[in-house]
Amino acid sequence: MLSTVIRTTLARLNEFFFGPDKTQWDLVRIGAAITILLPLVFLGISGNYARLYGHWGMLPRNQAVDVVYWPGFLFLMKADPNWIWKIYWATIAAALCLGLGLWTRIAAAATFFLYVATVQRNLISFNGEHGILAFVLVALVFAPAPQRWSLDHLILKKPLPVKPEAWPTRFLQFNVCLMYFFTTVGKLLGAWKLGSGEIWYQITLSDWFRFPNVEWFRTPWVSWLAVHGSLLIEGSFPFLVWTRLRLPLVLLLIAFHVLIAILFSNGVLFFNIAAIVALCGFLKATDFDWLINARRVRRYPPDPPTASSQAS
Amino acid sequence: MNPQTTSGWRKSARKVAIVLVLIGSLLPPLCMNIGAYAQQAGWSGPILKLNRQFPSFYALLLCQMWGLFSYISPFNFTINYRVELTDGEIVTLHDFKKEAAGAWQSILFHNEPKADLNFYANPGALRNYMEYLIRTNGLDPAGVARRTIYLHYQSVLPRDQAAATGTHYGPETDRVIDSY
Repeated sequence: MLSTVIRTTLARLNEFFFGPDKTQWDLVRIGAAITILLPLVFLGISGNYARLYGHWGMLPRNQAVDVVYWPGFLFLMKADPNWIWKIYWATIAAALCLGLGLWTRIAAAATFFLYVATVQRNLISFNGEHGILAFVLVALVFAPAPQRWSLDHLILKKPLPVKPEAWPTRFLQFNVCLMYFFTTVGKLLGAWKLGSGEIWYQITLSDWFRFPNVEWFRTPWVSWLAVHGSLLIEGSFPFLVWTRLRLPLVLLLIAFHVLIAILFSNGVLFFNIAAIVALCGFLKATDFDWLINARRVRRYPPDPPTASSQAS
Repeated sequence: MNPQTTSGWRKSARKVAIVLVLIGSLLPPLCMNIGAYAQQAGWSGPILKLNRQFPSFYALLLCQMWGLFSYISPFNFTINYRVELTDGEIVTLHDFKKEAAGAWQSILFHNEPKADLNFYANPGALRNYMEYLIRTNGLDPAGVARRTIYLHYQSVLPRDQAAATGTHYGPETDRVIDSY
C-alpha cells in the first residue's frame, strides 16, 4: 500500500517537473527582451544611463567600490569613463539576440548578468521589474530551446526540442506564486484598515495615480472593490493557478496589470509589463487552439456531407 | 554492470539534482519573506531568524522582499536640494539632465518616482546625489558652506477630514531631512 502511494507520488512529481513542456516561451522571451530594451534605450538617449551608472554619476566610481555587490564591479573594472558605454551596447546586443532568439540560451545568460550588473551598480535605480525580470531571465537560460519563433530555429535550422521538460517553467511559476502570495501577506499586514478600502482612496490622491481629479474612482464602493478585489485575485492566484482555473485566472491577472498600467503613472509601467511577461509563463501553446480552430472553421466551413459520405 | 541500469541511475540522479537545485533556489526568498512578515506581524521565536541575508542570491536579484504595491506614502512629495555658499549666497540645485527632457521626462525618466522613494530610504545615497548636483551645477564643493536636503510635501487627508475641510489635501509644507 505504502509503496503504491510512494510510486504514484513519484510518478506525479516526475510528470510535474519533467513532463512535456507546452509553455509559450516565445512570448516570455520576446516580452522580457522588450521590457529590458525599451528602458535601456530611454536611459541611453536621455543621458540617465551615465547619470545613474557613470564613473562621475550620482554614485561615483571611487565610492561605488565600497557599496556595490559583486556583479556591479563589471562597471568599475576600468577607469575609462567610456567603459560603461561598452557595457551598455553589450547589454543591448544581448537583449536583442534574446528577443530574436539568436543563440537563445547564451543570450539569456549574458542578458541576465549584464542586467543584474547594471542594477547592482546603483541600487537607487532598482524598481519592481528588475526583481521579476531576474528570475524570468534565469528561467530563459534553462528553458527549452530553440523556440518556434526564433532565428535559431527559422534561420539556423536548429530542430525544436523533441521532449522539452517542464522544470524551467516550474521555476518561473513558483517565483510568480511567491511574488503574489507575499504581496498579499504584505498588504494584509500593512498599517491600514483594509475594511473600508481607505488605502485605495489614498492611492487615488497620490502622485502615482493618473486621474486624481476623477472623483468616482474613490467612491466608497469603488475603494472597497479595488482593495478586496485585488486582494482576492492576487491572494488566490498562487493556489488556484494549479487547478482548472489556470487560464481564466492568468488572463484576469494580466488584465489587472493592464488596468494598473493605465491607471498609474509611467513609474510602474515597466513593472506591470514585466509582471505580464512572467504571467505568460503560465500560458500553454494549446490554450488558444479553440480560437484558431473557430477562425479556421469560420473561414473554411466544412463541406456539407455528400450522399456517399453519409452512406459510408 | 548493466548499461541500462547505469543509464537509469544517471537519469534519476539528474532529476533529483534538478529538483533539489530548483527548490533550493526558492528557499532564500521564501525564508526571508516569511521571517520579515512574521516580524511585521509581531510574532516572536525562531521563525524570525529566517529573515536573514542571502548575499549570493541578493547579488543576483534572486532574493526579493515581495510586497508589490503593499506600501504607499501618505503624502505627495518632491525632494529638493539647496546649498549655501561660503559668501552667503543660497543656490537651489537643478538636475539639468532631467529638466532637459522637458515634456518627455515622465517617459525618459519613468523610474524617477521610484528612485525618489529609494532615496528617501537611503540617506547616504541622498548625500551622493547632492554631490553630483553640486558638480553638475558648476559649483566648487569647497565653496559650499552648508548643504540642505528637504522634502516639499502635501499630506493626503483621510476621507472624513477631507469631507469636513472640503479638500483632499493638507497644506504644502517643507521639511528638512538632512543639513550638513
